[in-house]
Amino acid sequence: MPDNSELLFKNRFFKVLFVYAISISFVVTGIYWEDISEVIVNGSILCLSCIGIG
Amino acid sequence: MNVSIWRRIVQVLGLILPNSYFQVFIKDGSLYQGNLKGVVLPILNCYSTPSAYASCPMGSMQHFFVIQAFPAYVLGILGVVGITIGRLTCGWICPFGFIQDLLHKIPTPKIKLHKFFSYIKYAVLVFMVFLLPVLFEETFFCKFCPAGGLTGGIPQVLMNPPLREILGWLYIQKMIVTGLIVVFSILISRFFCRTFCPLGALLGLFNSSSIFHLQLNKIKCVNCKKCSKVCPVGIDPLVNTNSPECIRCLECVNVCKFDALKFKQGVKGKVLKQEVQI
Repeated sequence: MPDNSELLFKNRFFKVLFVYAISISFVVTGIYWEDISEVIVNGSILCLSCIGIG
Repeated sequence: MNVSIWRRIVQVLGLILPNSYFQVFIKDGSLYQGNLKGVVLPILNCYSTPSAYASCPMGSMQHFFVIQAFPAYVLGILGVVGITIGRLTCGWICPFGFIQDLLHKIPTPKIKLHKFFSYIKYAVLVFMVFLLPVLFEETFFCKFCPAGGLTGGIPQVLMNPPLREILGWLYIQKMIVTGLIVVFSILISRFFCRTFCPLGALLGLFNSSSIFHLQLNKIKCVNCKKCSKVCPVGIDPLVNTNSPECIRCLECVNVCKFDALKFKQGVKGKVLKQEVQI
């Protein structure tokens, strides 16, 4: 008979909640660190590695 | 309408919409530089594709590691997408996945892929996307990415004559890799997705826990094996219904005449070894 901690661990609800909490906090942290600006700048420049030159 | 037809429509939209900055072909060939480049779509669509609007998550992640920063925003987006729908974007939206589906339709003898090769993509994720960019400050996976080679490398070199003068061994290497992936995609269904795609490797980790997932009703199932025959990534849904390999194309759901397989949302309840819906 699994104990309560195993049931909690296996319970999809808590897994989903945990991953959402971590992921959303990552997104918020990234926005605070101005990651989006970095992504825009990086994506706007021709990536020489991507096209096989540098 | 049949799920397969819907999926093809969505795949066509997934190919066109993220790559609809058509002004690049009329103007001076410069990439889109607006705010939409800050959107990280959970698909393998190189941001050096001339008409690309958004950014590739793998390229963006490597860039953060190269500048010795933590890619919180990119990982967060992939986490939210993954825990919601798992690897559904691979089966329904990814342009390179769609290209592989089209290539596989070319009538040639087909080859089955051994399960061993599916582990390579985890090594690609760990080494070429995470570790090597941190250690050597180079976007290693981008140098080999066939999606970038096909949709970025070839058109950019065709559109920009000055680039042709600085082509070197890396370009030849990249075109060889791209060519091999194209050839193998003709012979093996979703070859790149199953063997090398680091984005698929990452999103697949969420398949077993995602809110939207496949559910198997073992009471209704008659074990006809039609689901495993139609699966493009070689899974047997009866053995591992939410395998990390599953791209959630839903062809198995579409082919099941007994309503034993469903794609549903569900959060409560235990995660059992084989999910049963009673």
